[in-house]
Amino acid sequence: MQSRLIVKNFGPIDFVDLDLRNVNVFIGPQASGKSALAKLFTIFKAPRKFLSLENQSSNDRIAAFKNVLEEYNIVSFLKLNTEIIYDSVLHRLSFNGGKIAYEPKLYNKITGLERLNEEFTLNKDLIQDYIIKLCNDYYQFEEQFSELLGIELNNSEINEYTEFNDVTSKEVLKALQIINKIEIDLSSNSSLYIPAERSFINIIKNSSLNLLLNNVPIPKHILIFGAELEKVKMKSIDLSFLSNSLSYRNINGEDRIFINRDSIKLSESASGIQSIVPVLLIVLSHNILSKHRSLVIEEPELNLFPTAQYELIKLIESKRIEPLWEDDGAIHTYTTHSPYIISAFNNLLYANKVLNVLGNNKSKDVKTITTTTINPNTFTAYQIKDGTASSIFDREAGLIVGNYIDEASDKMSDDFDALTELMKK
Amino acid sequence: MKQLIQDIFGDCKFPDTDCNGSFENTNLFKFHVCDPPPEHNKPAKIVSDIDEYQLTVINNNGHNIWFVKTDKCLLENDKSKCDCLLFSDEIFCFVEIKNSKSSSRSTQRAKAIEQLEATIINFKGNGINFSHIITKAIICFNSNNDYPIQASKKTQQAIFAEKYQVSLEEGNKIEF
Repeated sequence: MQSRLIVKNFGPIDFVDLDLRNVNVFIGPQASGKSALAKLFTIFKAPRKFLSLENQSSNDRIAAFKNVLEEYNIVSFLKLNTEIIYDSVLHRLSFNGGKIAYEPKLYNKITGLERLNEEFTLNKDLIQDYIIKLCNDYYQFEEQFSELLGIELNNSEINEYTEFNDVTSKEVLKALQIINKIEIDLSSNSSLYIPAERSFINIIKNSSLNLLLNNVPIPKHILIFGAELEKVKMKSIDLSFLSNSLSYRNINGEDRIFINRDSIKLSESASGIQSIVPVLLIVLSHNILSKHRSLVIEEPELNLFPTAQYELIKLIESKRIEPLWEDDGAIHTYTTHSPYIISAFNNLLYANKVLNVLGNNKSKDVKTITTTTINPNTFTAYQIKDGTASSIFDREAGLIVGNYIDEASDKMSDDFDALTELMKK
Repeated sequence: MKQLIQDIFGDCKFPDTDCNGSFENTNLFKFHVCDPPPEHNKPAKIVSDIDEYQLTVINNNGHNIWFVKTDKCLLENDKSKCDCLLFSDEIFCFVEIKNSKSSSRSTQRAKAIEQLEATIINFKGNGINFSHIITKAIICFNSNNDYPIQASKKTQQAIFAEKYQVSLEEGNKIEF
């Protein structure tokens, strides 16, 4: 799944043109704009959270856009010459010259199909082509539509050979309802930003009324994340990858961390655990729903020991369903400062390569090292600095190459060498 | 291997450097290699531990080890090349020594990789077969600090292993 985000003159960003895929990694120094880009990706991925399709004046659209930027604490990044373009299969959205242009591509297809259905008998062949195309791109639609027609898919798919002779105009209308619902969901609910302040949610959970009463200003994107967290039904998570017999359980609405039979409140647990649990609750519960979701995970490494960082990436990526269709699976976008996180991705990319080169004969050996791999074709990594973005991913090698985080290690080595020289003198 | 290299590349091309030929052999249990500063315009040399050096060679089993000065000696100046070679019957090392204080470690590493790569391609292109011998490409810095893992370093190692079947390492000690 590919999309493109172009940003000009926005906060610290002068110009970036990002090719975004299923796993995206942004690195860069503080205040380089990597989080701003990740936030823009979240906002532009689901534009109907703030844009309406009907009768929204240009001024109202701009006000709504500024409001959503405010929610993510990036409204002050707007400049007179800011330009932002997001383009995907679902929609194209641009902000340029103080105006917003929104092309809801799937929605336009749906209205096209509606028009064809008005002259059903005349357009039956065209309608069939439309539906086959939708089935190819949208898994949830294919599943629900075949159920509607009583077609047993048996691991096959709806294609030009599927018998459509019996489909009626009424059934097309029902199909339209299904795809309409999917379109609304994808355009409104498909993206979520998991902020670095995630552990804060657990701390304020029990005092939210007091905070409201005293008008304590909490950035809205943190509250949006907290609200999403509240919806999660998951009651337990195995955390043994952090430490033996460690687990999270929700007991009568209270988040608790267990070591064997002993337990403490989540808010009393180690900071790394408090930072990991909200991420896993979202990632793992999405894995069960398996609708399409784009999750931005800000600094997954927070408060974690290096090996725990590696295990966390392995776990999160092992649970990610590859979004082969537009309405299924997950896109994960990470911002990080950690050499261990970068190296974790590199290992999973390399594991995929080793599997492909050595074939099934060696898959057992690879799986003793890691059961999780990342397909390099679905991966991108960028470093953001001095207003621009450059790729740190060698697509031919399928691996991560020279980057600012690695250079930081070299800088430390250079200083050590310089000190050694002084000692020699 | 020594004879094959000599047959293909000959010997020292820079008589003014007083290097006494490109090939030296030793079975010392321990010796050091120094790459003189660029302004000296001299090739790498074997030195004792009282001299300044950047690389230590440990040879506990007393193997016959060949030391070949490649830069400013065996190989012409028209091509990029590494500083020296060290090899026994079992292990072959392409070595690039980086001890400049004027550029950063990451810049020096990128240059070293280019030099090692060029030398490997040159040797393989001239028909030297390394399939029977453990082959390493070593970047030698003044100190070998293990600061946090660097993904790009691992990537370079993977590329060297895949392209040249050579293990790329950083360090200032070689054991035979």
